[in-house]
Amino acid sequence: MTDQQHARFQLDEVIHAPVRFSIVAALAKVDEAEFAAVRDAVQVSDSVLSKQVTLLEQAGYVVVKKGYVGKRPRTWLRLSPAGVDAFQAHLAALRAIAGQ
Amino acid sequence: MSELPSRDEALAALRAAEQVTALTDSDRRRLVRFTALLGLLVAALFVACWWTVGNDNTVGFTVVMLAYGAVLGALIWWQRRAQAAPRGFARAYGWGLGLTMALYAIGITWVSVTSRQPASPLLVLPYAALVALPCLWAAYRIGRIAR
Repeated sequence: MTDQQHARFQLDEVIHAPVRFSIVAALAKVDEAEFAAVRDAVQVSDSVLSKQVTLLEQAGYVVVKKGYVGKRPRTWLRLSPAGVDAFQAHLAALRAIAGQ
Repeated sequence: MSELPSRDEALAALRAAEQVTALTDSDRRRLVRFTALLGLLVAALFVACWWTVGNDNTVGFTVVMLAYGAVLGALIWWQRRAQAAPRGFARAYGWGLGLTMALYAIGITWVSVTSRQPASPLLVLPYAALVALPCLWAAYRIGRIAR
């Protein structure tokens, strides 16, 4: 096995960061979730989540939808198909590193 | 990539990925109940339409449709308070509601065509249970996938 074939080179740089990894992991289990539900699940502030979601959105991994429930503005987040694929590949690389 | 994970860090990340979720038990219960209640509501609407159309009760039919609209609106309002939906919810819900509405449409056509000689309750009530069944099945599936 050459260095470039090692599992660690299959890790996704965007998802690898701990907070973004947690956001993507939380979204992987849902069709979609409200911003507040993801914030509570990942246990970060609104501003941190907003910044990380913007990066994930720019990478094409997360889709952001804005709307209203009654008169209250809400933001929903979901993984794009590319995000699902990238997360599955990232998990596979982690499993390989972990020897599972 | 600047920092590459060790074996222990990779294991920790995999454990963290399993544990984190945006879906609460409250949301899961809400979506299961919403889907089941929607099926029961459509089944009840079918029975009410059969009863009113069969008896040529136009006022009763109007009241039934207004009540249906009000209950449906309240159910949707309540469902939209859920903050997350489990992966697979939209698919299970879509199939369940689609089949329930298809059975409802067939049933309504049947009771309308036979309105001069109303169908027996011995046929209508089991058919109403059949109308609710796809949504009840979907509710069961949603409960299972959300665990």
